[in-house]
This record gives sequence, C-alpha cells and structure tokens, in this order.
Amino acid sequence: MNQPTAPLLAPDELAPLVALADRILAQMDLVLLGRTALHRLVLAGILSRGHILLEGLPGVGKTALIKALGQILRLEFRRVQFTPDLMPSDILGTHILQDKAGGPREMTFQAGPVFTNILLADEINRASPKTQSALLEAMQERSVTMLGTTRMLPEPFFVLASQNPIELEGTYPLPEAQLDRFLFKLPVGDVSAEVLEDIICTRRRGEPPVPSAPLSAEELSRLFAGMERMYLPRAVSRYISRLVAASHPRSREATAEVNSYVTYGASPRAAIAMGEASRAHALLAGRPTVGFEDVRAVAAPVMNHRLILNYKARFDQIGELAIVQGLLDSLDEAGLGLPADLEVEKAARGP
Amino acid sequence: MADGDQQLARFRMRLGSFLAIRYCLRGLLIWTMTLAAAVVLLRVAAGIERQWLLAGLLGYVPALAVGIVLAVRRTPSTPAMRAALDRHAALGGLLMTAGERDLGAWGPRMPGVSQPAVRLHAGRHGMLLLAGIAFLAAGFLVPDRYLPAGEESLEVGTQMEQLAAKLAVVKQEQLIPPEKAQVLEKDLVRVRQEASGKNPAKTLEAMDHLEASLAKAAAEAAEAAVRHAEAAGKAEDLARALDDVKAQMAPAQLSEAMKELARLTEQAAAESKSLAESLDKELAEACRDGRLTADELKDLAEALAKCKACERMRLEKLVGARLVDAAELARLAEAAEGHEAELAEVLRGCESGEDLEDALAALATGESADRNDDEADGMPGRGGRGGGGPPTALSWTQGANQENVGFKEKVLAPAAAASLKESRLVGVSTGDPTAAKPAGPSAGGALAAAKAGGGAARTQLILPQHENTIRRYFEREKTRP
Repeated sequence: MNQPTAPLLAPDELAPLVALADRILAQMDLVLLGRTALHRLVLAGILSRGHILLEGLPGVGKTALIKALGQILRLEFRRVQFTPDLMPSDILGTHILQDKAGGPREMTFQAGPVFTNILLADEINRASPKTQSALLEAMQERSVTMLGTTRMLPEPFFVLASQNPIELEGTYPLPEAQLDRFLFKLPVGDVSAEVLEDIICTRRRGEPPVPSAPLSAEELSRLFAGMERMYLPRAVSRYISRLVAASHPRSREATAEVNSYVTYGASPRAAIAMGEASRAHALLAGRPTVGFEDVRAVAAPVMNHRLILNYKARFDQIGELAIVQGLLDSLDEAGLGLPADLEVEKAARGP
Repeated sequence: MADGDQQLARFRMRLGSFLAIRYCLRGLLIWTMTLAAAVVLLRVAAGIERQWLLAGLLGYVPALAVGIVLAVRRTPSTPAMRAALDRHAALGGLLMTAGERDLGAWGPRMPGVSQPAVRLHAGRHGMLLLAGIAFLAAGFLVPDRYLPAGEESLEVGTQMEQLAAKLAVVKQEQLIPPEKAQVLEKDLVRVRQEASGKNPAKTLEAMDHLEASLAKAAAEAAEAAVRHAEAAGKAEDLARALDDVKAQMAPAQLSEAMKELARLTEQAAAESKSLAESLDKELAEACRDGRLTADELKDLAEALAKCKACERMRLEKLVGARLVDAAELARLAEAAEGHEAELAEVLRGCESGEDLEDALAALATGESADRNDDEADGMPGRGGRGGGGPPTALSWTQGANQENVGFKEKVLAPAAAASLKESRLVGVSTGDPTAAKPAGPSAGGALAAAKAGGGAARTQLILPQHENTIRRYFEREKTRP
C-alpha cells in the first residue's frame, strides 16, 4: 500500500476513531472476560483487513470471541465446522438445477457460507487439504471462481479460523501457503482463577451478554478510512524489513538461534502484514504515526506461524515465539550501526 | 520542532565525539604498539640511536587523523539518529515522521526530546594503551649498555684506521700504482661497511688480506731502500776514498778508480730515482768522463749521502707506519755503513794495477778489502743477523743464509720401548715404581682342593639345612622295597 499523501490524522480527527476502537474493545472485554491483550490484537487484525488464526484448547472462548466480534461490528457472521468429509462446495457453494417458471430448468449458483463478512472456520485443520485449499482464493483474492465465473465476496471479508493444538490424530496441518495468508496466529491460552470466578458468578450457563453498543456501518467505514491515513515512517519500515530479513538463516543480521533452528524465514507477505498491523496498533494507541513499539507488539503474532523450524528446534524445544523474541532483542530498531562497545540508551529512565 | 532539531544536532555531536574517541583510541593504541615494537627492534637489532626514533612520535598525527576520518564516516545517518531519539523519548514515530513530512497539529503537541545516554566501553583498550605507552617509554629509556650486541657491533674501527694510515703512507710513497691504491681504498671502505658481528671471520680475513698487500709492498720498498742505500754507500765510500788518496795515486790507477766510481754512481742513480734527480748534470757528466776534481768528488759524495739519507727517511716512514719491522732500519744502516777510511787505506796500498783491480772487485762484491786476510777458512762471519749461529760467509749484498744453521735429521735406532706398543695402560701409580717379585713355583690351581678319588675338582659345600634332604635322597634306595 502506498504511503498516505493526505496530511496526518489531526488530534481531533484521531480522537473519535480511538474512542470507537475503545468502544469495540470494551464491548469485547465485556463479552469475553480476561482477554484484553487478545482483543486488541484481534481488533488490530480486523482493522488491517487480515485473517486471523486462533489456536487454543476447546472451551477457551474462541468461537464466542468471533461471534461477539461479528455482533459488535454488525457484520454477517457464519460458522463452518470443518470435518474430514467437508467438501469445497460445502464452503464455496454449488450449482444446482432449478426449475424456472415458464421456462427450461437451468443451473443456479447456490452460494456457500463463505459469502459472508466474517467466516468462522472452526477446527480448520480437521478438513482435508482439498477443502482447506478451497479457501485460498477466497482469503487472498476475496473472490470465488466456479465454472469460470468469479464472484466477489462481500466487503469486508475476514476468515477467523480456529484450530486445536492437541488431538492431532486425523487432522491435516495447514499447508504453509495457507498459513501465510493469515495475518495473525494468536494463541488463546488459559485464564486466571479470578477470571474464571467472574465468569461463573456473572454468566448463567456461561452465556455471554449481548453487546449493547454495536458499531454502525458508517462508524466502521470511518475506522477503515482512518487506517488509510496512518503514517509509517521510513525508519520503522526499514526496521520491519530488517526484522523479516533477519528471520532467514545465514542472512546478515540473523541471530545464532535463527541460523541454528530456522529452515525458512518469514515471507515478504509477513513484512506487509507487519506494516499493516503496526498501523492498526498505532491507531489503537491513539497515535497518527507508527513507532517501533507498535512493530514489537505485532511482530510475534505476525511471524510465529511463518517461520519453518527444523528438527533440531523440536529436539531442543525451541518455539517460534522464542525465535521472534530473540530477533526483537538483538536487532537495534534505529539501525545506528554502532560498534558493539558503543551503547546508546534505548529508553528514557522513569522519574 | 526546533527543540527536536537542536536535540538531534546535539546527539549527532555527542555520538560523533564518542566515535572519534573510540577510533582515535584504537589508532593511538595500534601506533603505540607498533612504534614500541619498532623502537625495541631497531635499537636492539639495528643499533639505531634513540633520537632518530623519536621521529616516530610524529606518526600519532596521522593515527589521530585516521581515527577522526573513521569517526566521521561511521557516524550514523540523520534518519537513524532521529529514530534513536524517537525511540528513547517514546514518541511513537512522531520525530521520525517530522523528518519526512509536516506533522501539522502534532508538532506543538510533541513531547520534549531528551538525550539518550551514550556509553563507550573502552576500558580494555584504555588499559592496553597505557601498557603500550609504558612499553614505548621503556623502549626509549632503556640505556644502550643493556641492549644486546647487534650485527654491527664488530669493533674494527681502530684496525681500520691503522690500515687507512698504512695505505695513506703506501700511497704517498708511491709504493704501489695509483690504480691499485684506489682499489685498496675501495676495498677498505667496503670491508668497513660490511663489518658484521655475525661473521667476524670474513671481516678479519679481508683486513688481513689488505694488510698483507700493504706489507708486501712495504717489504719490497724496504728491500729496495736497503739496496739503494747500499749502492749509494759504495759509491760514496769510493768517492770519499778517492778524495783522500787522489793525489797519492798513479794516474792509471786513478783513472781505473774513477771508472769504477762512475759505474757505481750510475748503478746507484739507476736504482734510486731521487739520486738521479738530485745529481747535477755536469757533475754526472764529469763523473762519467772520469775527470772529477776534488770539489766535485766532495759534491758527489754529498749527493750520494743525501740519497742514503733519503732512503733512510723513507724507510723510517714505513717503520713509523708499522709497515715494516724496525730491524730494517738497522739493516739499512749496516748496508750504508761508511768504509771510506778502510778503502782509502786499501787504495793507498795498491802498488800495482792488479791490486787495484782486486780491491775494486772486492768493493763491487761487497767484501771489505781489509778482510781478505780473514778468508782463510772461507767463513769469516761470526753468526748471522742478530748474532749467534755457526760461522757464515760475509757479503755486502746477501744476508746470512740458513746453511749450517738447521739440525741434521738423524734416524734414531729402534727403541726398546717399541715392544710396549701393544701394551695396555691399566693405571698410573702415584708411588715409586717397584720391581715385580720373581714368580714362585707353580701351584695346583683349580685342583688344589681336590682329594684323591674324589672325582671332583671342587668340594661342594652343603648347608646344614640341606643335609637331611640330601641324606634322604641317597638313602631312598634302601627304603625302597
């Protein structure tokens, strides 16, 4: 995406957008307790128009989160439970022979559940590769082509998929090409005992409350329009580029861990995704420009599913998050290129 | 924004200063270590004086210049420094954006920019620099006497000066051709330059060769000087003798003597260039014609005496330069010794022409006329030069030979000790030698202890503890059923 040529979002322009975002986050926090950080990243992903892969054990609230998001944003929401016998036509749709009044029968396209704003692909790794790959075009091109006819998906279109990290028997791990199409891969972990206590006390049968202040279509459009005016400084984009380049083994700034454990680093799509997600994170933080802290906040969810580790990493129990954290720690954001014995203080000390 | 730019300029200055300190420190360290090693090496190996090595301190200027140039080149770019300040002040990209586009309403709202602390971890290099300075100071301050001798430490200066002085004398006296003198001078310079403690034999051998060349030329010159002095001395003797007895001699004898004088004078002039140059032409002509007057005879004698003195001076110069032995002076004095009184006596006593011929022949051969009587045994001399030795023939020109001086080799009779050639030394007694006692009668030897009928030459000693065992062994037949 080209850098915005319009002036920076003025403070009085940015403030309503931040208020909107805060309202969405507040609603999400109200529906799903104890997931503040996760909600911010999900909203950042939505504002970046990216697809999100949620990974977590059953019952941690993945579906509830996505459902609540659809309600808050007032977007059409559909859920598909992926199973091994699920066929591509079950998602994309199919042509059926239909009687026409006063005429011959003709093939009519029956749209599948993918024709929606938010598609919840539940347990996506249980479907066969054929069915998984049916989503490739929809996710990247936001269109579906059947029998030579391309049909555009509604705008906006998000795939929010979930997968279970356990019970891997009978599953089909997502291919790298499909993983790369997800902007974020967010782990949905356990919540604390206090949060559980709140859930038990405030939720009858665990049913979340219905969001009380959903966004209008116009408000959502304003948010997306605001995203277009977020400015990514050159130094930050250079940092993103260096970060992605350094994830490749034997690159100039690769860490020892990358050289040891990574087979393939992150793709250029990762750099694009990181730039967009950083913009969204800066918007949520109430700033018109992207800083290094925004990149650091989104780097792990953007890169963790794009790194292909080798067997040595598995033996040494090194995960993708540790690799990304190592990169963030080793790379100098400003790129001063100073010698090792000359050190510049990174952050000002508190009062 | 002005604050941001000021802070940026200040940060650039600070960072540049730290980089300059870092690179200058390294430059100083490298040059200090290099210079210290070079100082020690050059002083020890090449023996260069320390004041020349002080020029190496000028190398610090380019070292510092290189450090500053490197610092300028390695100073981060403005966007990078802007990014560092943005990160430090947590401005969220505002300062970075300010360098790229107008911030609009965000400009006045941007928080103040603070300077990040810059730390240079240069302790190790600083310590190394101090150590290098100490090393350099030690390299400069160590006295020469504590330095090991180097390659150039072969001390031949005195010998070289002596050789040069000898060569100068040889050259001045024209004992060798000028071309050869030039070659020897070049050789001398070359030997001086190549004199090395690593290979002293080469230098000393070359010096010996030079000295031998000079000594050979000097020896030849000394020999020539003696010969010239002797020739001049003979002519002078005859001239002075004739001056004394001229009036008493018969005209025929006088003429004969004059002829002999002319021959001797010509011979001396032919050998001595100085005499040939100093001799007056008319005088030489008169001498050749045999019509020398009394005054002319005196003049001729004086000229010949001067020639002798000249040869002596030349020889003295060679002796003074230690080119020849001082004994050569004595030899020259002996050769040039005047015998005019004796010769005059002989001439005066010559009654016939034959006597004169004998006397003149004796003068020509160098034999003294008055010694003819001592030639009865043919060996009138008593010892050679330096005295001692057997009788030897006397000669005006020849030195004493080695005849009858050496021992005659004689083959000795075979000594009785020759039989001891195969003997072996078993020791050296410190006491007086004693004669061996005569051997006694022959003894029984190994059979001494044998008993008749014993069957053995040696009696086996049976230990008490074995007695029962042996007894049982021999009694076993008895106990066997």
